[in-house]
Parts: sequence; structure tokens; C-alpha cells
Amino acid sequence: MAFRLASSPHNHIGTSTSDLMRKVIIALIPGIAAQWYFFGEGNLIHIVLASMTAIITEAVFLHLRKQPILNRVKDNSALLTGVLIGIAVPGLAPWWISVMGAVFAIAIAKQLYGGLGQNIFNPAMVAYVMLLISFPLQMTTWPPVSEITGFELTIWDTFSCIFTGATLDGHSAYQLIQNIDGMTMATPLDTLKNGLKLGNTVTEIQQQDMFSWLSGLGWEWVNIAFLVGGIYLLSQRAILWYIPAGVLAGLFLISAVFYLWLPDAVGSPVFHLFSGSTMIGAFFIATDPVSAATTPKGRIIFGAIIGMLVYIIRSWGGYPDAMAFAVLLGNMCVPLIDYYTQPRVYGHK
Amino acid sequence: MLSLVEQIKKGKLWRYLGGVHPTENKSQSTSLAIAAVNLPSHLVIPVKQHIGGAGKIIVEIGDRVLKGQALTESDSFMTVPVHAPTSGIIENIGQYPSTHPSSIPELAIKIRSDEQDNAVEQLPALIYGQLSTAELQQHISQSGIAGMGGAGFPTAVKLSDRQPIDFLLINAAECEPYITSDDVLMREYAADIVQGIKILMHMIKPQICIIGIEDNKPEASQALQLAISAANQDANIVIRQVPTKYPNGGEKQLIKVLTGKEIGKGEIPAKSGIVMQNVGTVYAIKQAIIDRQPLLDRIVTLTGEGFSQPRNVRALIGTPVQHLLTEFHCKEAQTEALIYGGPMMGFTLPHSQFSLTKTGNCILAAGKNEVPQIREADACIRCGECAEVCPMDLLPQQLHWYSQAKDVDKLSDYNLKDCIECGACSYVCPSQIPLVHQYRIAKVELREHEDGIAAAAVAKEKFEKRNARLEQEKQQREQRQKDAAEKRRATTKASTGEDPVKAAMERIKKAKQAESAPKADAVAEAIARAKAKKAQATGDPDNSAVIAQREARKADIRARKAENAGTTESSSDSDTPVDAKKAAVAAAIARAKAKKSRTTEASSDSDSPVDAKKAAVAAAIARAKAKKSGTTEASSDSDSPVDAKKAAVAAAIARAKAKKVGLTEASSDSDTPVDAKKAAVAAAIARAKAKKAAQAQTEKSGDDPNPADVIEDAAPAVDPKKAAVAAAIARAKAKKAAQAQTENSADDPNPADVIEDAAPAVDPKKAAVAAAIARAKAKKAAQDKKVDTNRKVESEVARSAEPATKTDAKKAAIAAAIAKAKAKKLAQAGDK
Repeated sequence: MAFRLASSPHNHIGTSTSDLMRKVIIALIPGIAAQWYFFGEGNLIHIVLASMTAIITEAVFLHLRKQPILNRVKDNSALLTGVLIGIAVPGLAPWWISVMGAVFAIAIAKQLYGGLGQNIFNPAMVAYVMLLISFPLQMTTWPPVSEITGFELTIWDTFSCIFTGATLDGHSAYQLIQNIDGMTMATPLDTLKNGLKLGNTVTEIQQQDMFSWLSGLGWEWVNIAFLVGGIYLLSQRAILWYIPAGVLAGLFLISAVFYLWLPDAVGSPVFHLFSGSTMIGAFFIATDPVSAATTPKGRIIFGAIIGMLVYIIRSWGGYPDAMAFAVLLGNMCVPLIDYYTQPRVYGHK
Repeated sequence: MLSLVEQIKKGKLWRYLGGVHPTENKSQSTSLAIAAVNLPSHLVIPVKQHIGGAGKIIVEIGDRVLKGQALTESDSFMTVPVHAPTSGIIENIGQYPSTHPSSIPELAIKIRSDEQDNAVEQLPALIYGQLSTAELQQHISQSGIAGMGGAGFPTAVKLSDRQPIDFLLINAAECEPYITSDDVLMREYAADIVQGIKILMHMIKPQICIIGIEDNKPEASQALQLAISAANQDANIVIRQVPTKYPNGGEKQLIKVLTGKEIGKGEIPAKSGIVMQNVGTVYAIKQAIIDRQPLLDRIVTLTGEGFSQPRNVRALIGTPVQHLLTEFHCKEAQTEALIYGGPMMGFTLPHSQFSLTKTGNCILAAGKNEVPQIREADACIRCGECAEVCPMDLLPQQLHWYSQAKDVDKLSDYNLKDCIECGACSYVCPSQIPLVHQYRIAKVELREHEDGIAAAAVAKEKFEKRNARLEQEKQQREQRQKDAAEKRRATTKASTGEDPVKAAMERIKKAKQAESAPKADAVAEAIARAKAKKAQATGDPDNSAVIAQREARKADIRARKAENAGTTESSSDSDTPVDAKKAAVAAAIARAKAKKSRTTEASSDSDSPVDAKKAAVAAAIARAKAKKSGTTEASSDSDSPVDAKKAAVAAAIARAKAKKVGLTEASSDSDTPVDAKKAAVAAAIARAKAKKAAQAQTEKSGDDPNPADVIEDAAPAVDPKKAAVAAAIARAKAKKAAQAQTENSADDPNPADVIEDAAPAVDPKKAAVAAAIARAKAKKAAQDKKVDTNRKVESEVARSAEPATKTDAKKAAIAAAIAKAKAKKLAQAGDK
């Protein structure tokens, strides 16, 4: 009787790439929920838009490259990219922002490099940077926390704003972000930066409504939720601790140094750790395995580079939040990091 | 700071990075005791079941053997003999499929059992305490013991006492899932194992013996501890329970865990003072030394969903696997894969017609749920799980990229050779990439690449040595020639009182003066040359330069004749050798001139025939002079002054002909006018002669002159001059033919094809023969010109007639010189 012929090992732990991506998407749910609670349904709509666009774009390109479509799409990597783009864009941005971002991410940043496993840069961050540079107005019109605005937005308002550019009442997104005084409300990071430029101290700046006990109102809870999701991923061994530890430690250390030196002229380390996209960047974006470093030592260095760059760009760069730029710059360093952090092999000196 | 031994005695264990924890699946097969196997009807014993060489077979087909009888013999420890596991008749010695992933046929001995199981005479136990290590090694080797853990390294080699050994490690880890053969062996034969350890400790005298056992084998551990205490070996043998992790049972990994030492790249554990043996091997050693039984059987785990009752059995080496499957009720319908060994490092058997070997510790009849689904591998997402689990701290994803790219340099940079093929990386890969499979293929490519480099290095060394040798020979030859020339010079000086070299130099000087005396003539010649060149460019033939040259030539010839005549008139017989010598020297000069003209001119095809012609012709002149001065030959009509005129005329004709064919003699003429002239003259003469001769011959013998006929015809005319001249003619003809053909087919005659068929090596006779052959070929080529575009013929023709190489001309010159020497000898003989 004939038996199967195979090469050893004849044993497998049972994980697969699609399982891995699915776990990551599940770990994003707490953060998405927090975002929904504080900033409205806009991001949910964008997540759906971006995911669908991403999957369709991937299918189109796989067909063009004559690859099996269903197998490859089933690995959930396009879905994950779409979800990340949906989370990253402002909630009230027009619909074409996330669609364009998803197309750019999948088609150019991933498929043109050779598909899964071959892209050098994180696709979601490439798309975000492209959008940020091309459409600065739409990409910086962040909806404020519902509590402190003068408006009540229903889901239909949100739909209308995203797809038609104005709410049912006829307000544009830009108008929506102006508070009672007529001042345009920005994100906490943005506010802090502008305030420091105007010469205020941090204590004075943080008197405003939008700041809270950890960092910005709403933003801190979003970050905490993403931290919870990240810990879940670590426990599931879907990601390893090197990169998140590197990012958070790098950001913490450099901001601690400046905070100890100029306490009231810079944001505190805790403020930085829970503002903006720090947590989602540390656990979900920088840990993208394809574009990150591969050796354990290299991963810590990679994370540290990203953490420090986040602080540097936030403090002295032109943009209020820097995770996307920092991640892309970190991706550029990966081949060099990998080459110089090879582990010592058993038996070698 | 405690010493290492003391640390170990205190129970310290070390860790290594990496490793996985697959499901153990061991409990299925440990519930029953070791079973005996019924005697199979036949056994197939491979001759080589170990790392090393195969033994020499000492039985023949039809022999009756007893259980324990040696079937092969060995002369070194690396060759392990095999023994008959039961009594019977040797049915066959031949090729059988090997129990190996490749199933390549290998030499095996098939025994048909006679059901009697008669053993050889039982010998008394060896008192090992009185035997030396070498003697015990000999006994172990002769008992056919190789490593039973799976690698099959000849045990006797490891057990030498040449190097100091600190630790004897016993590998009882058995880290692979499903396998429990060592576990039950330790449970049931713990006392024998301790006895075996004592033998080993006597042989290599370590400081301590450590038994490394995984902590999933508490019963075996307990059994061993009791046996150690019963044998009062508590001080010498310690048991260390290591964490259950795959691959803790790998030699390198277990050494690190038990002693903290790492075995360096390319080294053996003995260098670090460590010897490791598997428990099964230790048991076999005890059987060999105490029970005087060679390695005839082993414990095999039969497990997997395919077996209704997984268990361990004691099977004879050489038992057919099918026999085991049948006897222990393997449900083949439920068996997805038949794995020989464990699931991590075992290999699949395509069918069950293999036989059990010394290293077979498990037969796993895996059901559908026990093997991974076959699916296509995804792309590598660089997750790094493989690097996390690699027990050798390699970077498997880099090895994956480079093995796919076949980048052998990077593969050796990233230490592919250190991979122990444990399978942990493939086990964890989320994309289910068959990493170990790719590494095995890459290792072969790496090895081939390195073998290629080594072979190239050897070839290069051989080449350089050969070059050096040829260089040396050439120098020796030149040295010999120089010595011979010196000797010649000395002897002639002694015999004639005149230094021939000096005389030659004076003659040259005189000749140069004669040439350069008419300065006005030189100027006029230059002007004539310029005119000729211009005429060549414009296309009009300008004969004024030629006329001037002719006059100069005539003057020169007259001068030379006067000189010769003067010398011949004033000389007696004793001058004949002088003239002959002069002729020799003149030949040398001609050679030198020919060489010079060759080197000064660019190597263009059109010039070289003139070179060759020049050389040959000058040689012909020399010969003619020699003849004139001493020999009495018939048909020496090229010597009289009358011929000079004829020569001039013929030279003109020859030139015209050459021009028609396409040769450009103008450029060469301007460089060495005298030589060209001389060459053309003699060539013309030669051509005329040869044509006459050839015509006569062809008239005699019909169309194609048979080379044999030509030989006969040429026999009376052994004239060396004629031979070379004929060669020149033939060459010219063939060159014309070749040139015409090249015009037709735009194909240059391959210089590589040119060998000196037309220029005879030694014999004037051979020269004549070759010349005739060349003529025949030329004729044939001329006939076939239109029809035959066969390159071979063309090249043959070119080969036979193309005087376009230096060697050809040189050979011609050499031949001429030799011929002339012979002529001189004849002259001397004739004179005397």
C-alpha cells in the first residue's frame, strides 16, 4: 500500500497567517469602540469604506498578477490595512479620503512591491502620509469630543458629512470643529504645540477643556483601549514584546529627559504615551511584521528609533502627530538594523 | 567559584534559546511492556547501517549462518560489521531499497530464516576491568554497535581514551513526540544500563557521568536511580531531569543544558572533554561485553492512529516493516503516512517493503489528524517566529530568502551548515513554509558550489605547475641549443682555426656596406618606393621602383657571386666546408631576417605568405649555394647567372600573379625589398619547377595523384630544395584557392586549424610526401571549389596550404636548415 510522501517535520503548531491577522483585527476592537464613544461614528464608516476598498483593490491586483485570489485575500492582510486606515483618518473626512488611502496602500505600497511579505514600508502609514501631505485640510479636521462641542451629531449627520461634505443642517466639517468662541479646535497635541509656541506653559495650556487627567479628553481613553488590545495580542503571542517595548521605552526615555530638564515647557512622558496614535502605533502599526526588523535585538532598536522620532517630530517637526513619519523612517532603517544585529549562533564566538 | 563538576553535582542546569513544545503523544505506547516479535520468514540486513564505510561481506549465497554470526568484517573502527539476527540460509546478496528518504537501492543480505534460531557458541562474559580501552573498543566494534539514537555513528570511534574526558553524558532525553523506546528500555533494563555505564566509565575514565532525562519520564528516572544505588554508583553517576522541550535531546543542545559548554563550529564533543552516548547504545554495549551478544535487535515504538494498540516491541535488525505492521495490526486504511522515526525528524516511507535498521527507533503510522494538512505555502511575512525557536540561534527567515534565491555566499554567511534540521522552524511557521526541506536542498547546492571552488583551485594549481614545467623544459632546451652551438663553434674554430661566428659577422658587415654603399641608390629607391605606393593607391602600376630595385639586386647578386667565386677560386678543398658553413650561416641570417620581417610587420595574412616564402626561399638559396660549393647534384640549374635573369622575370610574373589574387606586397616590399625580391625570385623558380614536375606526374598517373604514387615519384628527387620549393608552390596554390573560397563564403581560414602539414618536420622525404599531399589537396580544392562548400575541406586546404603562421614559417626554416645540414654532410661525404 502506498503512503503519503512528505518532508519532515510532519507536525505543525497550527497557526496560520490569516489567524494572526484576524487576532490583530479583534484586538483593535476596544480601541475602535473607544473612538466611537468619544468621537462619533465617523471612523466606523471610514473603516467599512476602507476595508471594502482594500479588499477589492487586492483582488483586482491579484487578478492582474495572475495569482490565486481567494487564497490570498483570505489571509486578511488587506482587511487589516483597511481597518487601520479607517481608524487613522479623521472621522468627518470625506469618503474619498479613506477610499483613496486604501487604494494607495494596497495597490502601490503593497502589491507593486510584490504582494504580501515583500513591501518595505508599512502600507497603511504610506497611505496616511500621502493623504496628509496631499489633503492637509481634510486630514487635520479632527472632530472634537462630543461633550465639549456645541453640536449634537447623529449618525445620519455623520453619513451626510462624509458623503456630501455637509451635515444635514448644512454645516461642513470645518465649521463643526469651531467652538463657541469661534476658535478652531484642534487635537490636544496640536493645541499643546501651538500653545508652547505662543509662549504659554504647559500648565496654562492644560487648563483648557480638551485636556484631561492623562492627556487629551477622549484621546487618553482611546490610547488606553489600544493598550488593552495590545496586551491581548502579546498574550496570544500574535506579536512579540520587542517592538512595543522598544517604541514605548524610546518615547518614554526621550520625553523623560526633556521633561526633567524643562518640566513646564514640554509635555510629560505620560502625556506623550497616551496622546495621539502612540499606543496604536506601538502595538499595531510598528509591529507589522513585514516592514519591521526581524532579529530580537534589531526589533528593540527599531522600536526605539520610532519612539524617539515620534517625540522629535512632535516637538520640532511640522506636524502635530508623528507616528506615520516615524514608522516610515524606521522602515527605512530595517535592512541596516537586521544586518548588524544578527544573533550569535550556537558554537560561534 | 565552584568548578564545573561541583556545579553539576549540585544540580545546576543551563538553558539554551529556542525550542518548541509539540504535543507529546507518548502515553499511548507506554502502557504495555515490551513485546517480543515473532520470527519473520526472511530478513534483509543492509550492509551499511551507520556513518562510515560498508564492511566486506564474508558470506556467500547459500551459506548457512547462525544467529550472531558476522556477515561482514571490518578493518577499521569506522566500518561496523553486521551480524545475522537469526539462523538461516543466505538467500541473496544484492540491491534492495534502502530505508532512507531516497529509497536508493543499497547492498543488503537477505536471510531466509530456518525457524530454529540457533545461535553461535556462547562465550563467557568479558572481565572488562582487566581489558584495555583499545581491546574493549575492538570488541564493541566487532559487535556491530553504532549509535542507536538515530545518527548511527560508530560507537567504538567515540570511546578512545586518547583525549582526556571529563564528562560522560548519557542521552536519555528522547525529546521527539511519540517515541518511547528509550523510556521503556530504561524502565525494564535499568540495571543493564548501569552496567553498561560502568563499562564506559572504565574505558574513558570521566570525572562524572550525567544521565540527561526529560522530566516527562518519572518512572524511568526512578528506575535508573534505584539501579544506580543498587550498584553503589551514586558518586559517579548522577541523573539530571531536564525540562521537556524539543530538541533537548539533540547532542549539542543536551551538552549545553547539562554542562553549559557549547561545541564549537566544526568540532567534536571529545575536544571539550565530553562523550555522549544514547541509552540504547549503552545497553547494546553491555550486551556485547557481558552477554557476548552482538547487536542483533532493538526496541522499536509502534505508535500512531494506524496501530490499534500502540506499544514497544523488541524486533530483530532486518525485520521487514510489513511484518511488524501485520503482526501488530496496523490499520493501513487509517494510515495517512508511514513515518520511520518521530514526527519532527523522521522520514516518510512510500510503502512498507523496507527493513528495520539499527537506527530505527519508531514506526509511526500517522492518521489523518496526526499529520498537517497538505497546503500550499503562503508568503513569508517575516514574523520571526522561526528565529525565536531555532535551537542553534540561526535566522531561518534569512536562510529562507537566500535559499530561494540560491545565493550560496549569503547562505554560508548566515551559517546554513550549522542547521541541525530539527524542524522547529517549520513547526511554527504561520505560512507553513517547508523550511527544512528548502534548507536540505540549499545545503546540497552549497556543498556543490564549494566542491566546484575546490576543484577549480586544484585545476588552477595543476595548470600553473604545468606551465612552470613547460617553461622549465623550454629553458633547458634553449640552454642545450646554446651549448650545442657553442660546442659547434668551438669545434669548428678548433678544426679550421677560424671563428665561424666572427666570420659571419664580418660578412654581414660587408654585405651591409655593399647594400648601403650606393646611398644615392637608396634615396632613389626610397623615391621609387614612394612612387610605387602612390601608384598602388591610384591603381596604376609604376615600374620605375621595381626597375631600380632590379638593378640593385643584380648588383648585389653580382657582388656576392664575385665574393663566392673569389672564395671558391682561392680556396682548396678545405674551403668547401667553409662555404658550407657560410651557407649555414647565411641560412641563419635568412632565418633571422625572416623573423625580423615577421615581427616588424603586422600579422596580416597577406604579408605572412611572403614571410614564409621569404624564409623558405632564402633557405632554398642557401641550399643552392651549399650545393654549388660542394655537392654534385643533378638539375642544379638554379645556380648559374643565367638563372638570375630568369629568376627576375619569374619574380615579376609571380608578383603580378600575387597581386591579382589580392595580396598587397607593396607594404611588405617597402620594408625589406631585398628579401622580398629574393623570395619572389626563388618562389618563381620553385613554382615553375614544381609545376613542371607536377604536370609530369599528373600526366603519368591520371587525375588525382595518389599520395603513394607521388611518394614513388618523389623518391628519386629526394632533393631537399625541391621538396621545400614544392611545398612553397603548393602553399601558394592552396592559399589562392583558400582566398578564393574565403571570398565566396566570407570565412577566414581558421588559424587554429593551421598545422604544418605542408612543412615537413624532419625528413626531406617526408617533406616531399607532404608537399605532394598538399598539392593533391590543392587540386581537389580547386576542383571542389564551386561545388563543395564544406568547411572541413576548406579548412583542410587552408591547413595544408596556409603559411600564415609563424610556426609554419619557422618549421619551414627549420626543415630547410636540417635539409641543408644533410646536404652539407652529403657534400662532405662526396668530397671525401
